[in-house]
Amino acid sequence: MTNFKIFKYANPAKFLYLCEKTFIYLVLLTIIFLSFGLYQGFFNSPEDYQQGNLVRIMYVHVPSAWMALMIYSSIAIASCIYLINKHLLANIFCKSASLIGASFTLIAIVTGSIWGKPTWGTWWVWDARLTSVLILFFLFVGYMVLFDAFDDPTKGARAAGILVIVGFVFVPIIKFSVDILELRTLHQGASVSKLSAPSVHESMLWPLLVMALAYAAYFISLLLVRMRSAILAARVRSLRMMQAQRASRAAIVPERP
Amino acid sequence: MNGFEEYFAMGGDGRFIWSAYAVAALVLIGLAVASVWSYRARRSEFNVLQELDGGTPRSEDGNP
Repeated sequence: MTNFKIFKYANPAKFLYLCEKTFIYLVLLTIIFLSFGLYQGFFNSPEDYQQGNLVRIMYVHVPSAWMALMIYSSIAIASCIYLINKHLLANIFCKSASLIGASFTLIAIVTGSIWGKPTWGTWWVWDARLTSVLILFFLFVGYMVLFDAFDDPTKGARAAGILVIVGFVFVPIIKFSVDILELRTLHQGASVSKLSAPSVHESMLWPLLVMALAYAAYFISLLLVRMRSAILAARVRSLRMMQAQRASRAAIVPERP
Repeated sequence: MNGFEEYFAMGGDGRFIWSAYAVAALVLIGLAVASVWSYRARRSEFNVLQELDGGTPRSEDGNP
C-alpha cells in the first residue's frame, strides 16, 4: 500500500511544474557562473605569494567541500522532516541529493590530495580535517547503501535517515576542525589560515564565491533531474503494482460470461 | 603559442592544477550524464507502462 501513498504524495503537480519551468534557467545560470568563475580564477586572479599558481586549485576544491557539508546538512534536515511528517517529497530529496553530495565530497578529497602533494609534500595525512571529511564520504556511501538495503523502501529510508541524523555530529567537527578547535593539522598551516585571517584578497575571494554559486546552481539543476527521475520511478512502481493486482484478480475471479 | 604553453605549464605546477580540474570536471560531467540517462530511461519506461495501462480496459468491478 505504501506505493500508492508514494503515488499520491510524490506527484505534486506543482513540484513537477516548477521543475519544468525553472530547469532551463538553472542550467543557464550554472553555465554563466561556471564560465565567469573559471575566467576569474584563471585569468583575473593573481598568483599566491607563497603557493604561486597552485592557489588556483582552491577555486575547485573549497566550494566542493562547502557543497558537501551543505548537502549533508540539508539531507539531515530533510530526513528529520521525513521521519516526523512522513512527507515523501522530503524522502525523494534525500535519495536524490545523496549521490551528488558524495560526488562533491569525493572531489574535495581528491583535489585536496592533489593540492597537498606540492604544498605539503604528501598526498594524505591522517589529521583532523582530512580524516573527518573522509568519514563524511563514508557516511554518504553508507547512507546510499542502507537506503536500498531493504525490500521495503520505507524501512530503508527510515534506517538511512537515522544514520544521517546521527552522523550529523560530524558536520561541526569538520567545519571547525581547522577554524576553532585549533587541532594540529597540516591543513590549517598550509591554506586555511589565509581564510580565517582576513588576508584572502578580493581578487581571490571573487572567483571562489562565483565558483561556489556555480556549484550550487549545478546542484539544484541536477537535483531536479534526479528528483523527477525518482518520482517517475515511484509512478512506475505503482503502475506495475496496479497491473499486477489487476492480473492476479483476473486470475482468481474468472470473468463473468 | 609560447605564451600559451607557458601559461599551461603554470610555472611548473601545471600537472597538479590541471589534474585537479580534470578530476572535478570528470566527476561532475559524469554524474550529470548518468542522471539524465537514467531520467530518460525511466521516462520511456513510464510512457510504455502508461500506454499499456491505457490500452487495457479499466476493471469496473470493485477496483479500489
